[in-house]
Amino acid sequence: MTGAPEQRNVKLTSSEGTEFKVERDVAEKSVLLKNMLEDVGESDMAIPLPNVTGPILQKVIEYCIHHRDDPVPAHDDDTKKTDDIDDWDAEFCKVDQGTLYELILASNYLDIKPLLDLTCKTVANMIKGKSPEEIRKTFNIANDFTPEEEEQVRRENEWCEGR
Amino acid sequence: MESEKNSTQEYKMIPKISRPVYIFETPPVALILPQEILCEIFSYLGKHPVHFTRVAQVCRTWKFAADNHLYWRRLTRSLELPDPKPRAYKYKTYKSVILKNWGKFCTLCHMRKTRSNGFHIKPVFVDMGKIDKIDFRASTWFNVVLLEDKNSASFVNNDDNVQDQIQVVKREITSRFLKHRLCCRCNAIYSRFIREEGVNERRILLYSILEKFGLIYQRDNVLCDRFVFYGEGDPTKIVQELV
Repeated sequence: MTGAPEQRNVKLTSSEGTEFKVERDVAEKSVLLKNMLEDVGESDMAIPLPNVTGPILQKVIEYCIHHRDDPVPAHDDDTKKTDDIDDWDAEFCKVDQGTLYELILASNYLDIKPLLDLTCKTVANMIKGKSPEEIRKTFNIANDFTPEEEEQVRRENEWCEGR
Repeated sequence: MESEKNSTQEYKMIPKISRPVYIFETPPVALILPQEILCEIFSYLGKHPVHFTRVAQVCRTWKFAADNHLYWRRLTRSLELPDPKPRAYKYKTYKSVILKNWGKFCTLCHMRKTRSNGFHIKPVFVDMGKIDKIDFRASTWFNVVLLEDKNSASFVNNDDNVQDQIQVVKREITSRFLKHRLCCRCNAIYSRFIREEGVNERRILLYSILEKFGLIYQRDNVLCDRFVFYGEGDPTKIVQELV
Protein backbone atom coordinates (compact mmCIF):
# COMPACT_ATOMS: atom_id res chain seq x y z
CA MET A 1 0.00 0.00 0.00
CA THR A 2 2.84 2.41 -0.67
CA GLY A 3 1.29 3.83 -3.84
CA ALA A 4 4.13 6.31 -4.30
CA PRO A 5 3.49 8.34 -7.44
CA GLU A 6 7.15 9.06 -8.18
CA GLN A 7 9.02 6.16 -9.65
CA ARG A 8 12.29 5.22 -8.04
CA ASN A 9 14.91 4.33 -10.56
CA VAL A 10 16.72 1.06 -10.35
CA LYS A 11 20.28 0.65 -11.46
CA LEU A 12 21.35 -2.52 -13.21
CA THR A 13 24.88 -3.50 -14.12
CA SER A 14 25.56 -5.84 -17.00
CA SER A 15 28.42 -8.32 -17.09
CA GLU A 16 30.84 -5.78 -18.63
CA GLY A 17 29.96 -3.25 -15.97
CA THR A 18 27.73 -1.02 -18.10
CA GLU A 19 25.13 0.64 -15.95
CA PHE A 20 21.47 0.87 -16.94
CA LYS A 21 18.89 3.01 -15.22
CA VAL A 22 15.32 1.77 -15.46
CA GLU A 23 12.15 2.69 -13.68
CA ARG A 24 11.05 0.39 -10.97
CA ASP A 25 7.88 -0.96 -12.55
CA VAL A 26 9.87 -1.82 -15.69
CA ALA A 27 12.43 -3.70 -13.64
CA GLU A 28 9.68 -5.53 -11.80
CA LYS A 29 8.67 -7.26 -15.02
CA SER A 30 11.49 -9.56 -14.05
CA VAL A 31 10.49 -11.80 -11.18
CA LEU A 32 14.11 -12.12 -10.11
CA LEU A 33 14.54 -8.36 -9.81
CA LYS A 34 11.13 -7.97 -8.24
CA ASN A 35 11.96 -10.41 -5.47
CA MET A 36 15.38 -8.88 -5.05
CA LEU A 37 13.99 -5.37 -4.78
CA GLU A 38 11.45 -6.54 -2.24
CA ASP A 39 14.19 -8.12 -0.19
CA VAL A 40 16.63 -5.25 -0.42
CA GLY A 41 14.15 -2.42 -0.18
CA GLU A 42 15.17 1.11 -1.06
CA SER A 43 18.79 1.25 -2.04
CA ASP A 44 21.01 3.19 -4.40
CA MET A 45 23.26 0.24 -5.04
CA ALA A 46 23.36 -1.01 -8.61
CA ILE A 47 22.16 -4.60 -9.01
CA PRO A 48 24.84 -6.68 -10.72
CA LEU A 49 23.64 -9.07 -13.41
CA PRO A 50 26.75 -11.08 -14.23
CA ASN A 51 24.94 -13.47 -16.59
CA VAL A 52 23.65 -10.80 -18.96
CA THR A 53 25.73 -8.77 -21.38
CA GLY A 54 25.10 -5.11 -22.12
CA PRO A 55 23.47 -5.32 -25.57
CA ILE A 56 21.20 -8.15 -24.42
CA LEU A 57 20.17 -6.24 -21.31
CA GLN A 58 19.42 -3.29 -23.58
CA LYS A 59 17.09 -5.51 -25.62
CA VAL A 60 15.43 -6.95 -22.52
CA ILE A 61 14.80 -3.48 -21.13
CA GLU A 62 13.37 -2.42 -24.49
CA TYR A 63 10.95 -5.34 -24.30
CA CYS A 64 10.00 -4.60 -20.71
CA ILE A 65 9.33 -0.93 -21.47
CA HIS A 66 7.07 -1.82 -24.37
CA HIS A 67 5.15 -4.33 -22.28
CA ARG A 68 5.19 -2.42 -19.00
CA ASP A 69 1.41 -2.06 -18.89
CA ASP A 70 0.60 -5.65 -19.78
CA PRO A 71 -1.33 -7.58 -17.16
CA VAL A 72 0.42 -10.43 -15.42
CA PRO A 73 -0.38 -13.45 -17.55
CA ALA A 74 -2.50 -16.16 -16.04
CA HIS A 75 -0.67 -19.38 -15.45
CA ASP A 76 -2.07 -21.91 -17.88
CA ASP A 77 0.13 -24.49 -19.46
CA ASP A 78 -2.40 -25.98 -21.81
CA THR A 79 -2.61 -23.11 -24.25
CA LYS A 80 0.66 -23.41 -26.10
CA LYS A 81 0.02 -21.57 -29.30
CA THR A 82 2.66 -20.23 -31.61
CA ASP A 83 0.59 -18.03 -33.88
CA ASP A 84 -0.35 -15.34 -31.38
CA ILE A 85 2.78 -13.22 -31.76
CA ASP A 86 1.90 -9.59 -32.44
CA ASP A 87 3.76 -7.37 -34.89
CA TRP A 88 5.95 -5.56 -32.41
CA ASP A 89 7.06 -8.81 -30.86
CA ALA A 90 7.75 -10.38 -34.25
CA GLU A 91 9.87 -7.36 -35.17
CA PHE A 92 11.60 -7.58 -31.81
CA CYS A 93 12.58 -11.19 -32.51
CA LYS A 94 14.14 -10.44 -35.88
CA VAL A 95 17.67 -10.78 -34.58
CA ASP A 96 20.46 -13.18 -35.33
CA GLN A 97 20.36 -16.58 -33.70
CA GLY A 98 23.11 -15.88 -31.21
CA THR A 99 21.21 -12.89 -29.87
CA LEU A 100 18.02 -14.92 -29.75
CA TYR A 101 19.66 -17.62 -27.62
CA GLU A 102 21.19 -14.98 -25.37
CA LEU A 103 17.72 -13.47 -25.01
CA ILE A 104 16.30 -16.85 -24.05
CA LEU A 105 19.00 -17.42 -21.48
CA ALA A 106 18.66 -13.89 -20.11
CA SER A 107 14.88 -14.08 -19.83
CA ASN A 108 15.21 -17.45 -18.15
CA TYR A 109 17.73 -16.05 -15.70
CA LEU A 110 15.77 -12.88 -15.04
CA ASP A 111 12.56 -14.90 -14.94
CA ILE A 112 10.52 -12.86 -17.42
CA LYS A 113 7.90 -15.36 -18.48
CA PRO A 114 6.35 -13.47 -21.42
CA LEU A 115 9.73 -12.83 -23.00
CA LEU A 116 10.78 -16.44 -22.50
CA ASP A 117 7.53 -17.57 -24.11
CA LEU A 118 8.00 -15.21 -27.02
CA THR A 119 11.58 -16.24 -27.75
CA CYS A 120 10.81 -19.94 -27.35
CA LYS A 121 7.88 -19.58 -29.71
CA THR A 122 10.13 -17.91 -32.24
CA VAL A 123 12.62 -20.76 -32.07
CA ALA A 124 9.81 -23.33 -32.21
CA ASN A 125 8.49 -21.67 -35.34
CA MET A 126 11.94 -21.98 -36.86
CA ILE A 127 11.94 -25.72 -36.07
CA LYS A 128 8.42 -26.50 -37.21
CA GLY A 129 7.88 -28.32 -40.45
CA LYS A 130 11.54 -28.97 -41.11
CA SER A 131 13.31 -32.26 -41.62
CA PRO A 132 16.12 -33.14 -39.20
CA GLU A 133 18.75 -32.25 -41.79
CA GLU A 134 17.15 -28.85 -42.39
CA ILE A 135 17.00 -28.22 -38.66
CA ARG A 136 20.70 -28.97 -38.37
CA LYS A 137 21.44 -26.53 -41.16
CA THR A 138 19.22 -23.83 -39.71
CA PHE A 139 20.72 -24.01 -36.25
CA ASN A 140 24.24 -24.93 -37.27
CA ILE A 141 24.18 -28.10 -35.22
CA ALA A 142 26.74 -30.82 -35.80
CA ASN A 143 25.34 -34.26 -36.31
CA ASP A 144 26.95 -36.16 -33.45
CA PHE A 145 25.38 -39.50 -34.26
CA THR A 146 27.53 -42.12 -35.85
CA PRO A 147 26.10 -43.31 -39.19
CA GLU A 148 24.82 -46.52 -37.60
CA GLU A 149 23.16 -44.64 -34.78
CA GLU A 150 21.66 -42.17 -37.22
CA GLU A 151 20.13 -45.00 -39.22
CA GLN A 152 18.78 -46.57 -36.06
CA VAL A 153 17.33 -43.31 -34.76
CA ARG A 154 15.75 -42.67 -38.11
CA ARG A 155 14.11 -46.08 -38.06
CA GLU A 156 12.90 -45.56 -34.50
CA ASN A 157 11.28 -42.27 -35.38
CA GLU A 158 9.61 -42.80 -38.71
CA TRP A 159 6.44 -44.39 -37.34
CA CYS A 160 4.30 -41.29 -37.32
CA GLU A 161 5.43 -39.62 -40.54
CA GLY A 162 2.34 -38.79 -42.52
CA ARG A 163 -0.20 -40.35 -40.21
CA MET B 1 45.14 -35.83 -59.26
CA GLU B 2 46.74 -38.99 -58.03
CA SER B 3 46.84 -37.79 -54.46
CA GLU B 4 43.19 -36.77 -54.60
CA LYS B 5 42.21 -40.22 -55.69
CA ASN B 6 44.17 -41.67 -52.83
CA SER B 7 42.50 -39.43 -50.33
CA THR B 8 39.02 -40.37 -51.51
CA GLN B 9 39.95 -44.00 -51.26
CA GLU B 10 41.16 -43.45 -47.74
CA TYR B 11 37.91 -41.73 -46.94
CA LYS B 12 35.98 -44.75 -48.11
CA MET B 13 37.99 -47.02 -45.87
CA ILE B 14 36.60 -45.58 -42.66
CA PRO B 15 35.66 -48.58 -40.54
CA LYS B 16 32.02 -49.34 -39.99
CA ILE B 17 31.87 -48.36 -36.36
CA SER B 18 33.10 -44.80 -36.36
CA ARG B 19 33.38 -42.02 -33.87
CA PRO B 20 31.18 -38.95 -34.18
CA VAL B 21 32.95 -36.18 -36.02
CA TYR B 22 32.75 -32.67 -34.64
CA ILE B 23 32.87 -30.18 -37.46
CA PHE B 24 32.89 -27.09 -35.28
CA GLU B 25 35.74 -26.23 -32.97
CA THR B 26 33.56 -24.29 -30.60
CA PRO B 27 30.19 -25.88 -29.89
CA PRO B 28 27.39 -24.14 -31.78
CA VAL B 29 25.12 -21.85 -29.87
CA ALA B 30 22.13 -24.17 -30.16
CA LEU B 31 23.94 -26.71 -28.01
CA ILE B 32 24.56 -24.22 -25.22
CA LEU B 33 20.87 -24.12 -24.44
CA PRO B 34 20.24 -26.11 -21.28
CA GLN B 35 17.86 -29.04 -21.33
CA GLU B 36 15.02 -27.30 -19.56
CA ILE B 37 14.98 -24.50 -22.12
CA LEU B 38 15.07 -27.00 -24.95
CA CYS B 39 12.04 -28.64 -23.38
CA GLU B 40 10.34 -25.27 -23.09
CA ILE B 41 10.97 -24.64 -26.79
CA PHE B 42 9.78 -28.10 -27.77
CA SER B 43 6.55 -27.64 -25.87
CA TYR B 44 5.60 -25.03 -28.46
CA LEU B 45 6.13 -27.37 -31.36
CA GLY B 46 2.63 -28.64 -31.92
CA LYS B 47 0.43 -31.48 -30.95
CA HIS B 48 1.37 -34.05 -33.50
CA PRO B 49 4.16 -36.46 -32.50
CA VAL B 50 5.84 -36.01 -35.85
CA HIS B 51 7.36 -32.76 -34.61
CA PHE B 52 9.00 -34.54 -31.72
CA THR B 53 10.26 -37.50 -33.70
CA ARG B 54 11.87 -35.17 -36.20
CA VAL B 55 13.52 -33.09 -33.53
CA ALA B 56 14.81 -36.26 -31.91
CA GLN B 57 16.86 -37.06 -34.99
CA VAL B 58 18.93 -33.89 -34.88
CA CYS B 59 21.61 -34.66 -32.29
CA ARG B 60 22.09 -36.47 -29.00
CA THR B 61 21.18 -33.57 -26.75
CA TRP B 62 18.00 -32.87 -28.66
CA LYS B 63 17.12 -36.56 -28.81
CA PHE B 64 17.35 -36.82 -25.06
CA ALA B 65 15.22 -33.73 -24.54
CA ALA B 66 12.60 -34.78 -27.08
CA ASP B 67 12.31 -38.41 -26.02
CA ASN B 68 11.87 -37.56 -22.37
CA HIS B 69 9.59 -34.61 -22.93
CA LEU B 70 6.49 -34.24 -20.81
CA TYR B 71 4.56 -34.11 -24.07
CA TRP B 72 4.53 -37.88 -24.37
CA ARG B 73 2.93 -38.26 -20.98
CA ARG B 74 0.27 -35.67 -21.77
CA LEU B 75 -0.49 -37.40 -25.03
CA THR B 76 -0.73 -40.77 -23.30
CA ARG B 77 -3.15 -39.31 -20.79
CA SER B 78 -5.27 -37.53 -23.36
CA LEU B 79 -5.58 -40.70 -25.42
CA GLU B 80 -6.44 -42.65 -22.29
CA LEU B 81 -3.68 -45.15 -22.81
CA PRO B 82 -2.22 -47.11 -19.91
CA ASP B 83 0.92 -45.78 -18.25
CA PRO B 84 4.15 -47.55 -19.12
CA LYS B 85 5.54 -50.05 -16.69
CA PRO B 86 9.09 -49.14 -15.71
CA ARG B 87 10.13 -52.76 -15.35
CA ALA B 88 8.64 -53.87 -18.64
CA TYR B 89 10.86 -55.43 -21.23
CA LYS B 90 9.99 -53.23 -24.15
CA TYR B 91 7.47 -50.48 -23.43
CA LYS B 92 9.14 -48.57 -20.64
CA THR B 93 8.61 -45.01 -21.75
CA TYR B 94 5.57 -42.95 -22.60
CA LYS B 95 6.88 -42.54 -26.11
CA SER B 96 7.01 -46.27 -26.63
CA VAL B 97 3.44 -46.61 -25.41
CA ILE B 98 2.33 -44.08 -27.99
CA LEU B 99 4.39 -45.83 -30.65
CA LYS B 100 2.84 -49.17 -29.83
CA ASN B 101 -0.71 -47.85 -30.02
CA TRP B 102 -0.37 -45.28 -32.77
CA GLY B 103 -1.70 -47.56 -35.50
CA LYS B 104 -4.88 -48.13 -33.54
CA PHE B 105 -5.84 -44.47 -33.36
CA CYS B 106 -7.18 -44.42 -36.82
CA THR B 107 -10.45 -46.22 -36.84
CA LEU B 108 -10.21 -46.65 -40.55
CA CYS B 109 -6.73 -48.17 -40.67
CA HIS B 110 -7.47 -50.29 -37.69
CA MET B 111 -10.78 -51.48 -39.05
CA ARG B 112 -9.19 -52.35 -42.32
CA LYS B 113 -6.78 -54.45 -40.34
CA THR B 114 -9.39 -56.08 -38.16
CA ARG B 115 -11.91 -56.34 -41.00
CA SER B 116 -14.91 -55.29 -39.03
CA ASN B 117 -17.34 -53.54 -41.31
CA GLY B 118 -20.88 -52.32 -41.06
CA PHE B 119 -20.11 -48.67 -40.31
CA HIS B 120 -19.94 -45.80 -42.70
CA ILE B 121 -17.35 -43.27 -41.77
CA LYS B 122 -18.14 -39.67 -42.39
CA PRO B 123 -14.78 -37.95 -42.69
CA VAL B 124 -13.84 -34.59 -41.28
CA PHE B 125 -12.42 -31.82 -43.43
CA VAL B 126 -8.74 -31.58 -42.85
CA ASP B 127 -6.10 -29.22 -44.01
CA MET B 128 -2.76 -30.99 -43.88
CA GLY B 129 -1.07 -27.66 -43.30
CA LYS B 130 -2.77 -27.50 -39.93
CA ILE B 131 -1.11 -30.64 -38.74
CA ASP B 132 -0.32 -29.17 -35.34
CA LYS B 133 -3.88 -28.20 -34.65
CA ILE B 134 -4.95 -31.65 -33.62
CA ASP B 135 -6.85 -31.60 -30.40
CA PHE B 136 -7.19 -35.14 -29.25
CA ARG B 137 -9.50 -34.32 -26.41
CA ALA B 138 -11.87 -31.68 -27.67
CA SER B 139 -12.53 -33.54 -30.91
CA THR B 140 -12.50 -30.42 -33.03
CA TRP B 141 -10.21 -31.91 -35.57
CA PHE B 142 -9.60 -35.52 -35.33
CA ASN B 143 -12.77 -37.26 -34.47
CA VAL B 144 -15.13 -38.80 -36.93
CA VAL B 145 -18.64 -39.96 -36.52
CA LEU B 146 -19.55 -43.42 -37.53
CA LEU B 147 -23.04 -43.70 -38.83
CA GLU B 148 -24.76 -46.94 -38.39
CA ASP B 149 -26.15 -48.37 -41.64
CA LYS B 150 -27.29 -45.66 -44.03
CA ASN B 151 -28.49 -42.98 -41.66
CA SER B 152 -27.58 -39.93 -43.64
CA ALA B 153 -27.04 -37.56 -40.76
CA SER B 154 -23.94 -35.78 -41.95
CA PHE B 155 -21.28 -34.38 -39.74
CA VAL B 156 -18.81 -32.15 -41.47
CA ASN B 157 -16.34 -30.16 -39.45
CA ASN B 158 -16.24 -26.54 -40.49
CA ASP B 159 -14.43 -23.90 -38.53
CA ASP B 160 -17.20 -22.04 -36.81
CA ASN B 161 -20.07 -23.76 -35.14
CA VAL B 162 -18.20 -26.98 -34.52
CA GLN B 163 -19.00 -27.06 -30.88
CA ASP B 164 -22.72 -26.65 -31.52
CA GLN B 165 -22.64 -29.39 -34.07
CA ILE B 166 -20.81 -31.64 -31.71
CA GLN B 167 -23.44 -30.97 -29.10
CA VAL B 168 -26.16 -31.80 -31.58
CA VAL B 169 -24.44 -34.93 -32.74
CA LYS B 170 -23.75 -35.97 -29.20
CA ARG B 171 -27.41 -35.79 -28.46
CA GLU B 172 -28.34 -37.81 -31.50
CA ILE B 173 -25.68 -40.44 -31.48
CA THR B 174 -24.49 -42.40 -28.53
CA SER B 175 -21.12 -41.52 -27.10
CA ARG B 176 -19.66 -44.76 -28.44
CA PHE B 177 -19.62 -43.28 -31.89
CA LEU B 178 -17.74 -40.16 -30.93
CA LYS B 179 -14.69 -42.05 -29.81
CA HIS B 180 -13.40 -42.80 -33.26
CA ARG B 181 -10.56 -40.97 -34.88
CA LEU B 182 -8.88 -40.79 -38.22
CA CYS B 183 -5.16 -40.56 -38.75
CA CYS B 184 -3.80 -37.76 -40.89
CA ARG B 185 -3.27 -40.02 -43.85
CA CYS B 186 -6.83 -41.36 -43.92
CA ASN B 187 -8.14 -37.90 -43.22
CA ALA B 188 -6.24 -36.47 -46.15
CA ILE B 189 -7.48 -39.18 -48.46
CA TYR B 190 -11.04 -38.69 -47.32
CA SER B 191 -11.04 -34.94 -47.40
CA ARG B 192 -9.70 -35.11 -50.94
CA PHE B 193 -12.54 -37.45 -51.72
CA ILE B 194 -15.00 -34.93 -50.37
CA ARG B 195 -13.34 -32.12 -52.26
CA GLU B 196 -13.77 -34.05 -55.50
CA GLU B 197 -17.45 -34.34 -54.77
CA GLY B 198 -17.50 -30.57 -54.25
CA VAL B 199 -15.77 -30.10 -57.59
CA ASN B 200 -18.48 -32.10 -59.29
CA GLU B 201 -21.10 -29.86 -57.73
CA ARG B 202 -19.30 -26.81 -59.07
CA ARG B 203 -19.12 -28.37 -62.49
CA ILE B 204 -22.87 -28.96 -62.56
CA LEU B 205 -23.44 -25.36 -61.48
CA LEU B 206 -21.20 -24.13 -64.26
CA TYR B 207 -23.10 -26.22 -66.78
CA SER B 208 -26.39 -24.68 -65.79
CA ILE B 209 -25.10 -21.10 -65.87
CA LEU B 210 -23.43 -21.60 -69.22
CA GLU B 211 -26.65 -23.00 -70.60
CA LYS B 212 -28.44 -19.80 -69.59
CA PHE B 213 -26.01 -17.93 -71.81
CA GLY B 214 -26.51 -20.47 -74.54
CA LEU B 215 -23.02 -21.89 -74.26
CA ILE B 216 -21.62 -25.34 -73.90
CA TYR B 217 -19.00 -26.26 -71.36
CA GLN B 218 -15.67 -26.85 -73.01
CA ARG B 219 -13.66 -29.51 -71.35
CA ASP B 220 -10.18 -28.16 -71.99
CA ASN B 221 -10.87 -24.52 -71.29
CA VAL B 222 -8.54 -23.23 -68.60
CA LEU B 223 -10.98 -20.70 -67.25
CA CYS B 224 -13.63 -23.37 -66.91
CA ASP B 225 -11.29 -25.52 -64.91
CA ARG B 226 -10.23 -22.62 -62.75
CA PHE B 227 -13.84 -21.91 -62.05
CA VAL B 228 -14.51 -25.49 -61.22
CA PHE B 229 -11.57 -25.92 -58.90
CA TYR B 230 -11.21 -22.58 -57.24
CA GLY B 231 -14.64 -21.30 -58.02
CA GLU B 232 -14.93 -18.73 -55.29
CA GLY B 233 -15.80 -15.85 -57.55
CA ASP B 234 -19.05 -14.78 -59.10
CA PRO B 235 -20.10 -17.38 -61.70
CA THR B 236 -21.67 -14.89 -64.09
CA LYS B 237 -18.50 -12.80 -64.17
CA ILE B 238 -16.45 -15.82 -65.04
CA VAL B 239 -18.93 -16.73 -67.73
CA GLN B 240 -18.71 -13.21 -69.16
CA GLU B 241 -14.98 -13.59 -69.30
CA LEU B 242 -15.46 -16.82 -71.15
CA VAL B 243 -17.75 -15.17 -73.65
